[in-house]
Amino acid sequence: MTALLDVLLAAAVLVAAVATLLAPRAGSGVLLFLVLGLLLVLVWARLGAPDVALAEAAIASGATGALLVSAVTGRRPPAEPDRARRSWAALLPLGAAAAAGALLGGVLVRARRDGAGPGRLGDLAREADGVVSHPVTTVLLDLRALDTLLEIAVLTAAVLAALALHRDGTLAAVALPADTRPVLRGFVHLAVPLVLLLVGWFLVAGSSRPGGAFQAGALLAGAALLLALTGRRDLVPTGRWLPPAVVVGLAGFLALAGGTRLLAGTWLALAPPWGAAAVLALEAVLVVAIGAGLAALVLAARPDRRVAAPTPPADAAPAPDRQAPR
Amino acid sequence: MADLLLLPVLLPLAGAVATAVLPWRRTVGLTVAAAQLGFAVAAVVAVLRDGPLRGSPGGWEPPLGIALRLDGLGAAVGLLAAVVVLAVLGHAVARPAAAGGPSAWPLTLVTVAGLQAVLVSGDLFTTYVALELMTVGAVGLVALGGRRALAPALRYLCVAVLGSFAFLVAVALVHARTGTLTLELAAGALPPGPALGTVLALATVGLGVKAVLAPLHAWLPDAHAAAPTTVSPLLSALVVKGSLVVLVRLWSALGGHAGLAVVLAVLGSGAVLWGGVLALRQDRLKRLVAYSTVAQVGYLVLLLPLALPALDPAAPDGARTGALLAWEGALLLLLAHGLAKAALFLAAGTLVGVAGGDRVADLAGTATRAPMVVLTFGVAGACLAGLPPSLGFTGKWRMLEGAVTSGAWWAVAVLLVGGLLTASATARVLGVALRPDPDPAAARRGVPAGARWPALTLAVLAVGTGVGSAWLVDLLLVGAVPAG
Repeated sequence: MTALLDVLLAAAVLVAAVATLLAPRAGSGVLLFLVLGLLLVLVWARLGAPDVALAEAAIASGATGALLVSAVTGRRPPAEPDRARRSWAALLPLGAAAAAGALLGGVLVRARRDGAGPGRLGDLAREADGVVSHPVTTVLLDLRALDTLLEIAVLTAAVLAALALHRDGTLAAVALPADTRPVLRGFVHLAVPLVLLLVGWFLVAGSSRPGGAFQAGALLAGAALLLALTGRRDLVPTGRWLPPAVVVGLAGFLALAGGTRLLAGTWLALAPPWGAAAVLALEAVLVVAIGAGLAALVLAARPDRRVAAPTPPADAAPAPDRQAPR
Repeated sequence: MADLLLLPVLLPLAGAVATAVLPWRRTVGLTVAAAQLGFAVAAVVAVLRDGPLRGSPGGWEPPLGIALRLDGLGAAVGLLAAVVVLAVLGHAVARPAAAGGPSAWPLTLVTVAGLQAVLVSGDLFTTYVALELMTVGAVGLVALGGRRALAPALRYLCVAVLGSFAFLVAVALVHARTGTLTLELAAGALPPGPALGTVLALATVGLGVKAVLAPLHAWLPDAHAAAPTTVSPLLSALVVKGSLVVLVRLWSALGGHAGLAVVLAVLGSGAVLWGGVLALRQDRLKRLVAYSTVAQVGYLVLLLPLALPALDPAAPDGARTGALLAWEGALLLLLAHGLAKAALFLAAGTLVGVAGGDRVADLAGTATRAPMVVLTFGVAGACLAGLPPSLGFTGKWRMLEGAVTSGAWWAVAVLLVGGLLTASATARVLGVALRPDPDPAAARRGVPAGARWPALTLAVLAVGTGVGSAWLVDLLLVGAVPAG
């Protein structure tokens, strides 16, 4: 019975993926993408990876979905759906991709079967004597803390790059139209405290069970966007407060690295008496930075209507009238 | 020991945080760049004295923790990066209009941190994250070129993410087969077979896209044409090299693949010739310099097929000697290209500002208005073309010697024709620049001295290091697989 459900789930994922690619309108493509994300959450849950399922729900579907919806609704829809995309020619690259994917899957499955130590790293990590009890958090913030530091740097760099397209490298104001209907506001007033409670739970739970900074940060970003959508723009960091909020996570991680080097003698080495507290403090700072960063990404996707685009540097864009005739 | 591995990664990140929120961007940026140069020199000295540097953050030894390893190639590219970044930031301080605004500082420092992380990483997944960091920073820098840079930046992002994906699948395959992410441990546990071939093919395609290996180069010229002046040197001289270093390390650790080597020989030769011809045909200066990068990456990729016998202990001695010479030569060429191309892009950006237009035809008379900048362009171009006594000459000569020793006559022909094409492209620009000024009376913007010296220093270094480059060869061989 479960095998049948698994096959159905896998087939549904494939169908949703193909439908997303072949959707005639961008709007329906985004909706199908959200469905695909939901199905992937189920796949991860079925594979026994609740951490990945949570991350998929919060980031891959949640934050990415919000970005895509914002991009689709921000522009006028085209008058006619693009006919060319529905032609049979579109199936050719799809078929090639499917064949390549099947081939690659075969090689991967074979490699896993013939492999010398399948799951060796996972078993080692489970037995490792880290400062927190949850193995995923142990891997992320203890065993491979440098990777996580670099990932936080990637997110910070992406947000800074998006903000660099706005004037002064920050958002002057929230450019979303406010919806102040009483029912919606009432809902948000009820929902935001609950979401914040969940943020705190994910943050604290991350040490001992599924949860952690990325999921909590995505939820925080969702709460901030809900507030911004219903007119409470003062609660979303903008202007000169935004860059500090975005980089505070990376700064905290660097402070932990420097502090461990100075006090314990080894970069990013966590020891039992204070290690768990350090992990929790670091995750709390990361939640703020990830929340602010993801919210800023969604808001920065909206063109800043009140200010012009940044002026290009003088030597990169010569004025056309000064060009000599060739 | 771990300090020299981690400080060059963490310090630029701290600098990025500081320049994102504090007003003293120039001071912080230049201080970090100067400190990076100090770290890089210390790392080179340590590597030459003690062999490859090793470490693992957090005290977790591999396979559980992350293996850090800085070999001679990494230390040499780290030194190159430190020199180029210092020069580029110096140029940005002298001509703020060339830098693309205040956001350029944190994004530049993030890109530098990503490159340094690539260089010190001995772990495949850390390498993937580091490549991502470098790419995200570089894409953000390209986008600083204003509205017309957005489309090229987006195309660069899509191409680079596809490349990362291919590399990530290769890493997943290695992990599935060997149960480890440490490159040195995985190398011994991955026998020749379809899995090894797939890993190398995926990694070569993924890293080749990021390193603008033709025919995957279409994103590069537009990105360069639209990017601010100080971004192009970082992109062409450093970011491209990060992916190439990973490719070289992966190939040499895993023993290479004969079939893929043939494909790479064809692609590399094609890139040298096609890139050279396209560079000659460009109307716009920055696109001309950008296409020359496509050609130069072709030389560097030829390293992999030419050096293949050196990875095989059973190969005859003559073939191994030739392969080792080609290996050394191509890596010297990589360093020479980094220095010369950074100088060339800085000079090209300055010349575009002096001429008031970015067409090659607009350059007439610039030699009288900005003689030092034109001189920089000429010296750097001579190094790229491989004229003696530059580092480019030393590298190309060694590559030629290696190709002759191992009987790879096709490579000899490609190297010679490619050098001629590069020389003609430089000569074409210089020829226009030396023409008399069409409008001598017009008021002109001058070039501040601070913007002239960094590029000229790079060009002089590119030529000067060619003399007595034995220490560089010794450095490049430390911890390299072909050296045994």
